Amino acid sequence: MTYGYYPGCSLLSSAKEYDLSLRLTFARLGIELVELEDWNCCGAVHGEGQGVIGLPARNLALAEAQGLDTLIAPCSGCYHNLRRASKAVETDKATRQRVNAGLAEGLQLKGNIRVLHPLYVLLQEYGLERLKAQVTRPLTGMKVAPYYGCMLTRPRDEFDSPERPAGLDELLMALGAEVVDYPFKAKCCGGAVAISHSAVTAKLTGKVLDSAKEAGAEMVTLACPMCHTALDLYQSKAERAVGHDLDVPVLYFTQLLGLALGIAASQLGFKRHIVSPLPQLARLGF
Amino acid sequence: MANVLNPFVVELASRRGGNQVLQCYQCGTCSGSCPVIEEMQYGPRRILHMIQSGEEERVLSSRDMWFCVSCYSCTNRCPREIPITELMATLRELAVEKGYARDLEADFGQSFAETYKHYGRLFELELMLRYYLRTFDLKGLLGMIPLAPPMVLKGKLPFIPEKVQEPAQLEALCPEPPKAAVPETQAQRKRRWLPWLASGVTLLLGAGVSSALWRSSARRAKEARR
Repeated sequence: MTYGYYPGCSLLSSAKEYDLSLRLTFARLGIELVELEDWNCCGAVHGEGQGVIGLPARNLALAEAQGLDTLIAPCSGCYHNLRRASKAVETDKATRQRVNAGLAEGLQLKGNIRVLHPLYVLLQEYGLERLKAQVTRPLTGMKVAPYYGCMLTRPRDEFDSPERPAGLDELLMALGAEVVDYPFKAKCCGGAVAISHSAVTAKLTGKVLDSAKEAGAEMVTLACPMCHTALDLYQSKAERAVGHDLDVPVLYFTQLLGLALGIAASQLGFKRHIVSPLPQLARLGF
Repeated sequence: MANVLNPFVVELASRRGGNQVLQCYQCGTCSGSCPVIEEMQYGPRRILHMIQSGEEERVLSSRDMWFCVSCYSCTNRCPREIPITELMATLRELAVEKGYARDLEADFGQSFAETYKHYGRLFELELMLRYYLRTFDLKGLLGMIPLAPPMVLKGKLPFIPEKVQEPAQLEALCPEPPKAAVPETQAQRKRRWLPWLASGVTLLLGAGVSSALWRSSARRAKEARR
């Protein structure tokens, strides 16, 4: 299995541990990732005008030029933007022509690149049964709350339910963890306005973490660097917003996958978290 | 039908997410689903109603679209399949183009776009410098300062930007939107030296912090050897 890989800006800075653990676990599973050369920022939620389609479309064109037919985007925001661009280019001829006119010489976009999120690559292309067979160190006794955020499943999607998503739950169960269900698992963390209206982010993040903790979670797992920034880096602000301590470590699903596949905890970047998961992991024997 | 269309509806029809605004029948599912409805002045349902009634100025000078967190809850649930989240993004763009934008989030969006156009990728440190130099939002900055040292220590805030080979290539893909009738205060705030200053301060700060880190690690290594 070979896929094109679009890391996205966050995975080189604030979310390096996501990049690290994703590459390690996919290599262990025998899934080859070929990094897209010269990729550019997708525009996040701040793309404007024609750039909303144009910026991600350049990455799709690069993928076509580099002979890749699929792009894996681990950031929910990039995933959403790349898919939106891919769909727009595929279905709308005028958009395709405009994008192609703006592309540099030698780049031409036909619009048949599949954009996938690594979580659904594991669930739907690799297969849970096959994955289960590779688990050497089940996460028995680990109480984990899956957090989906927004753009992983919204708007409507062929991979999961936007209202009651189940992908992370299924993965966690396959890894042997105890899945904690809670009402805020697909509610927004407010990461998009984290700098300009940080009080809003703190409030929304506080609700999510509080709800997970109340339901009995020891840690939260997620699949988006923006959500991670809100839940991990902003946790001190969220604690002030809800009025009490939270102290919930927030892990990427690839880090938990890595543990279950028997990869040493020291390799999975747990030291890079603001709220350290090490005490909880030590208690469980990792 | 044409005689009931107001100019605002016509203008929106050619923009992202704006061609279905007349479909709205005011059920309020959007406002009921919105996680930031408490922060909004009107909420998406009333915004749509105001668009339908042609109240362009009231819509574009409201704070609502600047608090939209792009969570797609409204879009996902809208029984009329109006892409409300995309519409909010278009309202943000229009507010900037027509000089109504006063919110900090508008400045953040602009700083973000300038940064990725500069390098082709995001460079967080420069983004922060651009944003705080543009807004002088001291209250926000004071709230951010405690978060910076852990980010630096955990390697989450690189000092060297990642770049694409030819950042200029991106210009053709996201041409500057036309900015009509920008009020003077806004025009004055556009400072050409800002990017230079931002890069300069970034470099100095980066050099300073990394040399401090290097020195302390060298000292620790020395002590360990003893």
